[in-house]
Formats: sequence, structure tokens, C-alpha cells
Amino acid sequence: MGQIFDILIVNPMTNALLLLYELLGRNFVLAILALTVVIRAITLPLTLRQQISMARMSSMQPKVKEIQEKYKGDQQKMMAELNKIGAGPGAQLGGCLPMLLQFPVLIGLFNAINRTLSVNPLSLLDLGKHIYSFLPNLSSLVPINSQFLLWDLGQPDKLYVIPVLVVLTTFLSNKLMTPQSQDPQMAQTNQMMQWMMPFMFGFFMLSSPVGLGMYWLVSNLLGIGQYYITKPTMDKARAQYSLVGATGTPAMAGGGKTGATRAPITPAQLSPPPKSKIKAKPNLVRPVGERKDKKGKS
Amino acid sequence: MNKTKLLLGTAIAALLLSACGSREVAPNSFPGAMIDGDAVFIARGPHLYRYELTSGNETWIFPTTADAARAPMAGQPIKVGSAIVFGEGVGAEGRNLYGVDGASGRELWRFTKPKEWVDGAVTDGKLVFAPNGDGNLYAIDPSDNAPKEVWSFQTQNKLWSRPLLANGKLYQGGMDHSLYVIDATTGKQLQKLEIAGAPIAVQPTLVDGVLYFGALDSKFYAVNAATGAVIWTFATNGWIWSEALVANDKVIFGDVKGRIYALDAKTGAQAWSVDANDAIRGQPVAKGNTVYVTSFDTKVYALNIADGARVWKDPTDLKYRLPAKPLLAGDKLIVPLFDSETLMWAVDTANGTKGTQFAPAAVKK
Repeated sequence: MGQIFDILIVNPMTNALLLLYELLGRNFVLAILALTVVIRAITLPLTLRQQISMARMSSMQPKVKEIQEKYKGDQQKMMAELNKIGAGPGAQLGGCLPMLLQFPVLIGLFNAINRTLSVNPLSLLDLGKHIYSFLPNLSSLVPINSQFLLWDLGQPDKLYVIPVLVVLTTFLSNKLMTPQSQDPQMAQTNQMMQWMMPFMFGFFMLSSPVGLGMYWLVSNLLGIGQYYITKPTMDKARAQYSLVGATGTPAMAGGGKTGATRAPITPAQLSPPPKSKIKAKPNLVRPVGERKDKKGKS
Repeated sequence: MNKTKLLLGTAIAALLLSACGSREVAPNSFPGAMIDGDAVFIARGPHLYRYELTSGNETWIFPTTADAARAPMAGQPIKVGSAIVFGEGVGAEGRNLYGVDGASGRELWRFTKPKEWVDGAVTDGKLVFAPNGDGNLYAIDPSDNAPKEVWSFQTQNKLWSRPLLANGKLYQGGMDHSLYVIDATTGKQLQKLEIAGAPIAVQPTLVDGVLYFGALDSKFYAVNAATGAVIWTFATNGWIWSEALVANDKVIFGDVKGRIYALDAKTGAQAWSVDANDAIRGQPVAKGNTVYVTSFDTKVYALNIADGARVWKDPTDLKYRLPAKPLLAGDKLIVPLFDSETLMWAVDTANGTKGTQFAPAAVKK
């Protein structure tokens, strides 16, 4: 299994890193930056799908809770109702799937950076086993120049600058990406994760080579940039899915209208709309609970 | 998800991640062993170990307690006077080259530099010549157990291999792709050979005025030691990180892809090759017409030097990676292991059967 993972994921990334290192003036930080951009671009559809799914599930929470409460004693009926609004186990798993698919990529990149930095003889020997012989002169690049500004990319950061930046950018990234939940318990969980994850990664970075911290930092910054670029798209998705709470019917593509015959919204369909369209329909982004209250009163 | 589970999960994840990031516990530099009379020494992991060669009983370990902050011991130990000299590999800051009394295991001296001593040192009986990860080759006088730096020679990158000392000259391969010829008395550069297209991570072998060595550019070189002229080169399947053995007019070595080569020492023509299943890093050793090669694939190969045919029915599988040169002791081959609690096995040179186990008493079966 490990060997297949190596062949499919880690080896191509390792060789790509070395190739980029050569092309970008033998600057390993630039190589990490370039490869991270490429990987972010390739996984963008998955990232968008995951964010849309998160927004959708978050918007549906009050309705899901309502169904769970209502059909507490009848699992079959509960599942049927959840499936009806598109929040059944299958849909929840479907939401997780894009994120799960991204893990091998992240782990692969992590391993590739570690292997390419080759901070010790064993890892350098390991690198030697995985360099593609058909790419000329890659062996002449080793050992790679691991010095960057104040840091040795192969050593932990004794100045603690990179771990601190990782904590800050992870926090910011999580804060931006996590959709606000109407469910108090979920909101509390999200908030706790927003605080704990950055410190967990910061703690990890204390003992990791600076090169890995650089990757994390670059990846977070790209994620934040990507958030602002795709924000209009996500707002549109949130607006559409927030109708679920009001109608009890799965939201479909098509400007917030619902209909069983329409296909679920996809990242491809959600290309950023013109600005004039984004500011329209402010009423669609009202919290579900609020709408429900109003509906109840009327 | 409830709050306690989340906290617990995050704490476990943090611990796992921090374990991934720790680079001081896992072995990362190659161990090395030496035989001195009836004792065998091995530098591996947190200690230098002394074992009785025949019984396999442990005599002492240095230091007596493992220190997690200390880098793992690495490289082939050497004997200088009564001291066994060895160093610390990649790991914590402030790495030491130690001189430890061979009989008692008492520390006699230490010489500290900020970077690693990956491949041990060589000696002329008086001075110790030790390459360091800071790119310097140090000449150290350990007289009176007060080591003094006599000279240092700076290269452009890390030094991860021992130099060869012959005829008052040191032949030092560098990670900066160069092979340096240095005057052992003065530390002055005599020659800088920029032949290889990649790091030279091995100690060259000198036979009849010819230097034999491989490099990480997947090429093997035969060079006139006096002039520096290349006599022949040979392209291999993978990087070469094993020192060469010259025996019966053949040059024998392996590459990191696991192929064992025997070349004609004069012409560089391939006599035979045999495939192991993983990297060859230790220098082969020969006895009579048989060459013994260890591999990361956990096996010891006994091959006929003439044609590469197997001498034993099957290679002996020691179950753990074999990263260092085996040692010949009479009719026994002492093989250092990686990763395992057993440090070394004695293997019968005639048939490959396992004999004495060199391990802490609790581990021995």
C-alpha cells in the first residue's frame, strides 16, 4: 500500500519539487510555492465542492435537528426524511469525500518536502531510490540548498517565527472557511476547532523542518486568497441552500428556486457571477432560523 | 460531537503530529562496527556498545543512559591509543566526537562542533581526521585526553564520508561533488578533482595507485591517484553509496537501487551483476573467492567473485535492514543491523547460518 502511495503520489511530487527547484534558480522556497500553487489549482474543484457541501450542511442543521427530534423512535422514517432534504448519511459522506480525497495529496506533499530536504543520510538515500532516471541531472541538484534568509529549511525554527505565522494563518484561514452554523452545538464545536487546530499545527511546527512550515504557510495564504476570490460563489451557494430550512426541499441550482427535477448545484456551475448579480437578493442570505420565525408568525 | 471527545481527539492528533515531526528518536545515520581483538564495538542509536566477540555478551555501553536529546551515534569507530573514537550523527545541536576507553567505556575526551559526524574518522595513529557536517575536515590531536584542533580544511558543502589516508595524503569526497586531495600534515589542498556530477558520499578505495569510488550521479570512477586523470567510468542503475572492494582483479560495489556490480579493475568492463531487492550501502568484504554483500533488503549475499554465482543456497535473511559494512572474524561474518533490538548477528561464512547474537540479554532468544 505504502509503495503504491509512493509511486502514485510521493515520487511524482518529489521529482516535480526537484525540477521546480532547478527551474526557479535553485530556491527551494520558490519550488515549494510553485508546487503548492499547482496542487491548489488541481484540487480547486474538490475544495470548492467541500466548501459548498459545508455551507449546505450548515444551513440545513436546524431542519436536520427538527427531523431527528420528530422521528426519534423511527430510524427508517428519519432516514427517509433526511434523504428527502438531501441530508442523509450518503450526502454527508459525499460532503466529506472531497476533503478525504485531498488528504493523500497533502500527506504526499508533506513526505515529498521531507524527502527532498534530506536532512540526514537515511532520507538522502531514500531520495536516491526515488529520483526518476529519465529526468536528466536531478541527482546533480542534491543536496539542495536548504538555506533561506534566516532559516535552514531542514531544521526546526529556533526563532519561532514560522510556527507563530502558521498559527496565525491557520486561525485566519479556518475562521474564513468555516461557515457560521445556526446550530448552537455545532457553532461551539466550530469555534473550538478554530482555536485548537492552529495551535495543534503550531505545536507540530515547533519540531518540524522550516521547509514544511513554509509549505503550510504558503498553503494557508493561498487558501485565504482563494477564499476571497471564490467568496461571491460561496455566498451564492449559501444563499441558495439556506432556502432549505424554509421549504423543507433540497435546494437546487437556479437562483434559489427549488424543484425536484433540477440538478444539485456544482462547483462548475458556480463560476463567480458578475458583481451586479452578487449584491442582488440580499434576503436570500438571512439566517434560516430567522426566516422560520417570520414564517411561523405570518 | 461532544466537547470532551473533541478535546481528546485533538490532543491525540497533536501528539501524533509531534511524533511525526521529531527527528531525534528515529535512526537517521548509518551505524558502524569495528573489531579489536576479542571485542566488537558498534556505534548505533543512543550508544556505543562493546560486546565479547565469541560469546556475544555485552561488556559496557556508552553513555550508560540514553538521552533523547542526543543525536544517534553513527559511523565506523576507530581505535586511537586506548580510545575508541566515534561521533554523533544528525540530531541535536552541539554534536560530539568522543574518545572512550576501550576497556572500561569511560569517556576520555570529546570534541564538539555544531554539526554531525556521520561517518566516523580515520587516524595515522597520532592525529584523528574527522569530517563534519559543517563542511570541514578536522585534524585533531587527542594527546593527554585534551583534544586540540591542529588544522581544518573547508569544503563547500557537508562532509558525510570518511577520507582515505594513504601516503601522507587524505582523499576526501565531498557533498559539493568534489574529491579533495589534502596534505595530512599541513591540511593544505594538493588537488581538487571536479569529476563527479553529484555528491561523493563514500571513502575512496586505493589499489595500485588507482582510486576507485562511486558518486550519487550513478557513475563509478577509476582515477589515477597521482595525476587525477580519469582512467575509466561506469554508469550504474542508481546512486552509488557503497564503498568499493577490490579483490581478484575485480571492483565490487552496489547501488541504492539494489544492484551488485563486479567490474574489471583495469578496464571497467562489467564482469557480472546481481540484483538484491533494496539499497546496497555497506562495503562488500571478501574471503577467498567469495564476496559478502549486505543489503537494505535485510539479506546477506555470498557470491562467487569470478562469476557472481551464489555460494550459499539462499541469501541469509536477518529480517532487518543491513546498512553497514560487515566484519570478517575468522569463519564468521559480523553483520550490523538497523532498526532492531539485536545489534549484530554472526553469520557462518561457509553456509550462511546464524550464530552468535549481539543484543541486550533481555532480547536474546
